[in-house]
Amino acid sequence: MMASDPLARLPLIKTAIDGELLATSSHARKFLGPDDALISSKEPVDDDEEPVKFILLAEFDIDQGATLSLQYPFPTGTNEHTLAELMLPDGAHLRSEDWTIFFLNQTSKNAVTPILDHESPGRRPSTQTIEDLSSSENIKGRDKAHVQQWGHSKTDEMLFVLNCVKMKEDKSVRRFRRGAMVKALAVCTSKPYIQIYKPILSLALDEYYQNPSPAILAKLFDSLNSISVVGCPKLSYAETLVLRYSDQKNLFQEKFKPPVALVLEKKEEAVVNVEDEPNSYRSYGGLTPDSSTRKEEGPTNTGTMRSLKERFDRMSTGSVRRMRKSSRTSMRDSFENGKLRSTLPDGEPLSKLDNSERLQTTVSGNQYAYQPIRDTHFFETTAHYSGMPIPVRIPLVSLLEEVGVKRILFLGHGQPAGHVVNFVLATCSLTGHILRGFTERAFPYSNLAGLEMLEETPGYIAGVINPRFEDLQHTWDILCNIETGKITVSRYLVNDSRNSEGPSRALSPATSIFSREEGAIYDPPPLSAEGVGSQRDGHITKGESADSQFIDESSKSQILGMVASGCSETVLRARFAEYIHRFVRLAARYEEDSTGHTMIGFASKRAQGQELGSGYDFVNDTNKAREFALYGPRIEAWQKSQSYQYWKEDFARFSTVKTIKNIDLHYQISRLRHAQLISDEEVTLIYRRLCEELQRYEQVIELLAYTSTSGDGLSTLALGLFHVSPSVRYAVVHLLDLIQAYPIGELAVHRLNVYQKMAYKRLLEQADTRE
Amino acid sequence: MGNQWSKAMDSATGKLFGNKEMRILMLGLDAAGKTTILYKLKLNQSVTTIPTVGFNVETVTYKNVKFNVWDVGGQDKIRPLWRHYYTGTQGLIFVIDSQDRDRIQEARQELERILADREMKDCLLMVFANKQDLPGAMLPAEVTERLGLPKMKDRPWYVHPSCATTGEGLFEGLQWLSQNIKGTRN
Repeated sequence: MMASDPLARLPLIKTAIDGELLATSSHARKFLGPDDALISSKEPVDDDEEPVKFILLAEFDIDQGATLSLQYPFPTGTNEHTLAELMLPDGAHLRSEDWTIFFLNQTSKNAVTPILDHESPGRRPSTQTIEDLSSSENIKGRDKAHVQQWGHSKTDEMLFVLNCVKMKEDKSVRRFRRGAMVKALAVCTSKPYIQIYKPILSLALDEYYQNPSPAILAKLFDSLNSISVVGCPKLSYAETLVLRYSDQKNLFQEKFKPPVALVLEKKEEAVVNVEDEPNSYRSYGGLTPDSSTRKEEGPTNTGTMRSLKERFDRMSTGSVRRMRKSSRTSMRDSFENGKLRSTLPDGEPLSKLDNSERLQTTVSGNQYAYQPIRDTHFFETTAHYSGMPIPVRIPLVSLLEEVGVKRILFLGHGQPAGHVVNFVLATCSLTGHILRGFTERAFPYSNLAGLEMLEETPGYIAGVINPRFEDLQHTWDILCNIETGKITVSRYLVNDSRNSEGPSRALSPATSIFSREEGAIYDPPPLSAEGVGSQRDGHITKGESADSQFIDESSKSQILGMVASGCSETVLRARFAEYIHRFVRLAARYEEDSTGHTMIGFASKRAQGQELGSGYDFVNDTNKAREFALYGPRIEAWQKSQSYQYWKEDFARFSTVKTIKNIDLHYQISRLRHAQLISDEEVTLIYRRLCEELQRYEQVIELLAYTSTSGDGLSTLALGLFHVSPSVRYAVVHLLDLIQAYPIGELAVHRLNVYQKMAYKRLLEQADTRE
Repeated sequence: MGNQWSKAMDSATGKLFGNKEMRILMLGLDAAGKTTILYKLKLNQSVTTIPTVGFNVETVTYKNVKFNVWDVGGQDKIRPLWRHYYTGTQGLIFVIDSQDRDRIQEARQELERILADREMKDCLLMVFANKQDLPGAMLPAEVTERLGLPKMKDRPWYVHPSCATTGEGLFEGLQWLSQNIKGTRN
C-alpha cells in the first residue's frame, strides 16, 4: 500500500503527470497561447525572467510542529504556517520520502505578497531572510535586485510549487530527542513543468540534511535558474496541439537545432577541444561528464586533442560517443544509490540502463532528421548542481488545463502524498486544451491547514490523505477514494434540502462514519490514476447516460474499452479533447436555439451555393432532441461557470488570431464523417475551399491541429480520395500535396492507412500521365 | 443493493449483541505519548515513535466496542488544527506526561480550550496520567487537581494512571469510555 519510493513512482504515472502541462491561464497564455498562433518562430525560448522564484525550507520542529525555517531569496508573504503544513504532508513521519505539489496565487489566502521593503524591521517576517543569508555569500546586493525585479513584474502570476519531504531516522544522536527529523525543500516556479526539478531538489535536500546551511537554498536557486534553454524550439499554439496529441517521437525535428549548428554558433571557426566545452553536449540528449572531474583528468584521458571538424566527421559516420569510464562510474553510483532518478521516454528509470546506452548519439547527414533527439516532445538540457550534471527534459507540450463549479476531492488515506497529487493533476489534464481555469482551482496536495483555502474556492479539484475529510461533507461535493475506488457524492449535493441544516447536525457521529453509501452513486472497479480520472469530466458529475456511453467499457471506441485494449495515453487525451470540444459546440448550438444567437461558437447554417455550412450539425431531428435533453441541464450549469466565461473570451480571441478564416473546420469534418445525406456539390465545395485556403505553413499546422484532436480527422478528409467524382478526388490530392509541402505534413500524410496512401499514389500517377 | 443489505444486517446483529462504535480523539501536548498509546492498543507492542506529522488513525476493538481512535500531533504550532477533528467526537482521550510538571499548566489551558468548543460539549473526557514508570511522576490525584477537574461538573470525566510502553492502565481507560458512552448514541 505504501510506496517505498514515491520518487520512482511519480514519473511512472506516465505522461498523466510527467511531462504534463499544467499551466496557468495567464502564464500559459503568455507563453504559448493562441496569441502566438501566428508565430512559428524557431527562436529559442529565452526568457530573461528567472523561472524559479522562491526556494522554501520547512522542518517539523519537535517542539513547535510544522515550521517554515527558510525562504530564499526573500519571504513570499504567504502564511508561513500554511506553507509549512503543505510542505510537511500528513503522515510524513511514516515514510522516508514523499512529494507534494501545490500552487500559490490562487486565492487571497495563498497570494504572494513579497515584502519589498524587507529591511524595515517592523515588517520583518519571522523566518530568515536574505539578510541572514548574505553572510554566507556576497549575495545581498543581487537579491535586492530580485526583490526589485519582482516588484516590477506581475505578482499575480500563479506559481507552481514542487516539494520534496524526507524523514531521516537518527537514533544515535542525542540532540534529536525523538529519533527522527522531517525536513522539506520546495521550489516555486512560474513554469508549469515543475517535475523537471525533481532530481535536483532531492539532492539538495540530502545535502541540507548533512549541512543545514541557508547557502544550499541559494545554490539551488542559482542552479535551477541557470538551466539553459538555448536551442529549445518555440512552438506555436497549433504546433503544440499537433505534438500533444501525437505519440510520434519525431515531429518537428526540423525545429530542433542540430548540436552541430549550436556548437558552430558558439565557437565559430575555432578549433577547440570539444571535451572542454560542456555546452556542446547539451543537445545530445542528456548527460555531460562531471565538469570538475573532466578538468582534473585533462586531455590525457582522451588521448589526443581533436579538432572540431574531426569530431563532426566522427559523429556523422555514426560512431558512438561514450562518457569516460571514471565519470560513468561515479554517475552510476549516485544513480544506483537511488538519489537520482528520472525517466526515459519508455518510462524506465535511468538507473536501469547502462549509461553508455543513454549516451549513444548517432548523427546522420540528413538535414532535419538527425537522430540524437529521442523524443521531440521534450527539449533535453542539463542542470548542474554541486558540479554534478543532471539531465533535464523540458516538455514542449505545455497547455492550459481547466475545474468546474463542483468541489472534487481525491482521498488516499495511507498513501504517499505524491500519489494523490497525481490523481489531481491527471484529472486537470483530461480537460484537454479546450476549457481552462481548472489548474487555478487545483490543490494537488492539501490538508486541514489548507481547508480555509478550499472553502473559499467555489469549485476545486484537490488531493488529501486525511480521512477526516470524509466526515467533513460540507467541504466537498464529490469524494473519490483512491484506495477503494469508491466515489461518493456529498449528502449536501444529493439532498439540497439539507443545505439549511447546520453541518454539526447533519454530521452526527452515527451517520458520518458509516453511512457513506447514502450518497454513493458509483462503485467502479479499482482503477489506475488515468482510469479514475476518466470517471471525472470537469464539471460533469452526475451519472448520466451520455457519459456512461463515453466511458463505456464494452465498446472498443469508448474510454474504458480503449484503456483495456492498451491505447496510449495520447490517444485517450485526444479522445477526451474531442468529447469536450463536441460538448462546447453543442452548447453553442443550444444557446443559439434558445436565445437566437451565440457568442461561443459558429452560427449554425447549412451549406448553400458557394457558402460553406458551419455550427453544430445534427444527423437528424430525433438526434437533436435526444442530445438537448441529455446535455441541456449540463449546458445550463456550465453557462454559469467561470469556465464558460473563459471559453467565451477564448472563442473571440481564436476568431481573430486563427489563420484559416471563414471556415468552420469542425463542421466540415463532421459533415464528411457523419452526414447521412451530403451533396456532391457540398463535398466539392469543402475540398475546394480548403485548397484555396491552405497557402501558408501556419494554416497547414492549424488544419493538422484540428484534425489531430478530432478523431483522426485527416483520414476523414482523405476519404475523398475514393469519392465518385473525379474533381473531388483531385481536389483531395491537391489538398494532400499542400499539406505535404512541410515536414510535419509529410509525417501526417504518412500516417494515413495503406489504402488511402495507395489511392493517393495512384491518383498522383494518373494526374502525371494526364498532364 | 446486496451490499447495503449486508450492512443493515451487520448493524442489526451489532445492536443485538451490543456492538458499539465510538469515535475517540486523542490529544495532548507533544511528546506526551499519544502515538505510543495508540500503537500499544492496536498492536500490543511498544513501538518507538517519532513525532507525528499530521495524524494517525487506527481502529481498536475491545470488548465488542470498536474504537476509532484519532491521534493528532501535539506541537504548539499545529494545535490550531485540532478543531477540525472535533465534530462527531464522542470521547476525548487527553494524554498527560506526568513527569512534565513544567508544562502541566500549558496542558490545562489546552484542555480547557478544547472543551470550550461547542462541538465538544457532549464529549466524554478520559485523561491518561501517562509515564507513571518515570521517577517523580505526578500521581493521578495531583494531575486531577492541577488540571482543575474537580470543578468540572458538566461532563463525565475520569483520570487513570498509565504507562504506554508497558500498556498498564490503557484498557481500563477504554473500559470506562465504553461504559459511559450514552446509550442513545450509537
